[in-house]
Amino acid sequence: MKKGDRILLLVIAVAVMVGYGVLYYRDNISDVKAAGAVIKIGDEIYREIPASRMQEDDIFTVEIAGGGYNTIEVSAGRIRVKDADCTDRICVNTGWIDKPGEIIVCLPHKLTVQIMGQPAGVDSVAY
Amino acid sequence: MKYKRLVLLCLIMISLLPIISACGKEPEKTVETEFLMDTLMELTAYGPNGEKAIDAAMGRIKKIDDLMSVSSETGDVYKVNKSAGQNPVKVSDETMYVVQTAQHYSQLSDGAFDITVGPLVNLWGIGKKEEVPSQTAIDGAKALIDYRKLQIDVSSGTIGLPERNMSIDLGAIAKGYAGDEAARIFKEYGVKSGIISLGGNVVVVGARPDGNPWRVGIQNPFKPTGNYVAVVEETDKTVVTSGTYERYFIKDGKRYHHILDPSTGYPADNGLASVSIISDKSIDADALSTTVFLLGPEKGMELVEELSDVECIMITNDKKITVSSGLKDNINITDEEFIYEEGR
Repeated sequence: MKKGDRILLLVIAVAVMVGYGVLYYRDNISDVKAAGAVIKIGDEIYREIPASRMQEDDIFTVEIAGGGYNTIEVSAGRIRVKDADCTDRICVNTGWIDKPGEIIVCLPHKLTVQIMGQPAGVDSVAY
Repeated sequence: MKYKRLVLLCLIMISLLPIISACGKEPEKTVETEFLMDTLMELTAYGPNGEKAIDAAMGRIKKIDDLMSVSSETGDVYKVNKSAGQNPVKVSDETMYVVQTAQHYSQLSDGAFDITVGPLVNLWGIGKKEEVPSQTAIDGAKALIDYRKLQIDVSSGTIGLPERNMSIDLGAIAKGYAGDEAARIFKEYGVKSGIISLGGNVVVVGARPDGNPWRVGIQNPFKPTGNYVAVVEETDKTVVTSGTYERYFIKDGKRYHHILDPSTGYPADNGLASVSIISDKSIDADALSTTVFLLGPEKGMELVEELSDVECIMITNDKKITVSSGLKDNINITDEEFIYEEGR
């Protein structure tokens, strides 16, 4: 084998590793990167909390047009609906969420609190 | 020498494959969410026509909601229920199809699933109120439930309820039909890859953009939405789950959920936390997830085994997972807290 061939082989080997690395990253690791949260009412974004702000303690109340409220609490990278005057309080019962793809849904108020990103390892969850 | 060159060339080819596919752009992805049919809809489509396809599908879902919701006054179901005790009512073709399918599962389960469960659903009002009705009221509602009395006349396109205060409820099946329709519209628009989630009723269209099957998680009944206990890989299929955690209220420490048993008048209490059905059509999976739940672990699984192209995953309150025979080698249990039980 000539020297040129060796170099070429080396280049190929590195390229293969990089290529598969990128594929692996895209399929597995990139899924779990984002851990910010988004609060929506209907299909409108009410507030986005970037990952960097999820560590700061915060409490705020979302007023629902037409009456009603959901009080949202952020603490230590997690978020929950602390209190609400909706009819089923399932949003409150759900408790804290902190993993990508986790979602709190308040159907009566059409409010969702979601950790950004897909649940790791799946494309969708049947619930 | 020539041989070495050839090997090298092959190596180059192989090495380029992942690079090309890693650098190649994923097809355009469109995601839209909306609250329809009293739940959260999330539609995802890949490809250039994605947005148009999603808009058209959402429009279709709205139309189905209008026709089949008990509360939409211009819809078929509202009219049928309002005319209970009077003459049958003319309904649209799609309502007829969904009612017929619901009636099919009522018959198949000897009324464990009952399309005329309306009075009980209305009485409990799970999600709208938080009180346990009186036994008298429950008995009154139960007495009005009987799918065998439903009058379906296909030739004239009419549906009738013979007694006053009887009512039909398509809440356990209409979302399934909407999922099938959304998938049909995706394909009409040339969408080869997409996910339709109608309040957790999942329909996967085609395969993932990378050609692999879609990975669908089965919700952990004891954790917030988005946590799963098992994964199935599917192409052009639907996965629908009915669980006690979806809609409920807690009174005096007891959970009252939305899967109401027409035979007792109370929420089903048979040890099951959730039932997931995998099938080709979402209307079947939707109706079956409730039917199998109400039949309970044994009879429910028996029914699934009798049906072709239908698979089932049951999760019990004590964290045991049982699957139908066709799924045994095709499910990946990912949560170690759950115990996989070999089917009977």
